[in-house]
Amino acid sequence: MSFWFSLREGIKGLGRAKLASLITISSTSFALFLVGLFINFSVNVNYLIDDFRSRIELEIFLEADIQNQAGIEISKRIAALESVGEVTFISKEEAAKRFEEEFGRSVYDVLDTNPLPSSVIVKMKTGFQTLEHITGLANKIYLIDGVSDIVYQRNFILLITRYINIVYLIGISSGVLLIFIAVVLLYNTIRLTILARSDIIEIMKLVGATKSFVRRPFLIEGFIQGASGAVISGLMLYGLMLLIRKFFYAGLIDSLEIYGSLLLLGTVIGVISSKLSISRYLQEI
Amino acid sequence: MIEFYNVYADIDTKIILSNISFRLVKGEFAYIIGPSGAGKSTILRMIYMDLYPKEGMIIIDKYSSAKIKKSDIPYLRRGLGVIFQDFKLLHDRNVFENVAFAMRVTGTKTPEIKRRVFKVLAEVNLSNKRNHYPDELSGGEKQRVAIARAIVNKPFIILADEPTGNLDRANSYEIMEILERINRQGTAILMATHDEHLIKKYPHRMLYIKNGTMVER
Ligand SMILES: Nc1ncnc2c1ncn2[C@@H]1O[C@H](COP(=O)(O)OP(=O)(O)OP(=O)(O)O)[C@@H](O)[C@H]1O
Ligand SMILES: [Mg+2]
Repeated sequence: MSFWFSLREGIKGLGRAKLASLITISSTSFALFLVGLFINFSVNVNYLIDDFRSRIELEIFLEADIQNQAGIEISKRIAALESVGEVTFISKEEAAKRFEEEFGRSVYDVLDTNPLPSSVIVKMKTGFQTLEHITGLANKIYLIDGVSDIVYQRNFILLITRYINIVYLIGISSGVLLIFIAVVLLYNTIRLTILARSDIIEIMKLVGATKSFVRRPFLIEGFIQGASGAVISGLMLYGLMLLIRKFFYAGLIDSLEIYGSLLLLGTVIGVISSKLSISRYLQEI
Repeated sequence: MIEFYNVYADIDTKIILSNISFRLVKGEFAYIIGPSGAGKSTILRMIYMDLYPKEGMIIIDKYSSAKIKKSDIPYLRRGLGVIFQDFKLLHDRNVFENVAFAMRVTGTKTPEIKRRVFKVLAEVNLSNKRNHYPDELSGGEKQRVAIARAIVNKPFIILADEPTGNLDRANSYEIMEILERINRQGTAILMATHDEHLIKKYPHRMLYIKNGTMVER
């Protein structure tokens, strides 16, 4: 069976060029470890940003003479608008209560009547937490009779929006760079293992092996090297995550998908780089 | 079976061979002789199409150098057996596996491989050494392993590039006896050598190369 032959030759090849394989596997694990760190970092930053975003809200103050019944009507009208998520109506009485909780004194201690207006707290629907949508919504709400003022943290939202773009840009470019480095590393170290075995390639060609047949053991080798590199880097990453969670930041998240994508990436990079180097070698001779 | 028509060869733009024409028929035994650097190996390389002629045409079996596709070359080579002065054995596997290698590469099934390899090892008198590694063999034995590997796929011709170049007299004779026997069974042999002594002892047709051209002698 020629598949088993290729598999056996691939494994034998790892043993024949021990040092070169060792270098390949350790440089792969190193590169993939960096990639994994980067993926993990992005996932966590993304998670934090989502968390921040979910806290974005608009506080809509109603005219002082609006009574609760009318206030609830207004909050219903707001809830019906596009891009609006959760809506909470805060009556004058609740506002007074909140005041007391916050300042330790009741408004009635100083005044006869409650001067605090009722208000509506609006959260944006997921996916609409951008400055554009928020300003658009605010403009619509202003048009509603009985609304006196709208407050939201424009600067905070601006900061998040700008920050996200920078994070994504850094993330994507360093991800591409790291993967490129991994391919170059593997390509070159796999070349070493190929050069160490130019004799077997020469003999294969002499006895009439087809090009794809000559290539196959090296692809299997690349697959094994990439996969082992991925497993080692996954273990290192997992260990590091445990340490960080224990000593620095317990909220750190990681997922099976991260390790799965490392494995996939490792094997794909392994196969592609060995394909590149064996093809180049076969072209040279 | 092997035909050269007005073949020119160059390596790195240096003309090595000019206007070579000859024909080798089925089951023939011929020497290529000539001084070192004359182009003997170059002719053999052109036959297994490791090198294309610069001009002219070469026909090997049903393939022509003018029309052959790169992907056909492995199949052309399966009809040839090639041996060299330096044996070209794989040092990480034993005699049996070295010979079997040529059949595994062509996808032959294991029982058939076993049957054939045992048979050819018997033909070169190495049945008892089949589990030895190349480093445990003498030069003559190594060359016999290489011959076994060359004939295991039943080629129509053996191309031998100075097969006795690294061997002493007695071992050279032994190799020649084996090649003679293979030839009597119908396999053609084309052997490059500059060992005048062997040529006298085992006389065959001679293609003499000098100054880039070929003459029969
Ligand atoms: N790879 C190469 N690069 C450059 N020149 C080469 C190469 N191979 C062969 N040559 C040149 O081609 C010519 C013929 O070489 P070839 O190997 O065919 O000679 P030969 O007759 O086999 O010699 P020898 O008896 O020493 O083996 C020589 O002049 C040699 O220098
Ligand atoms: Mg030569």
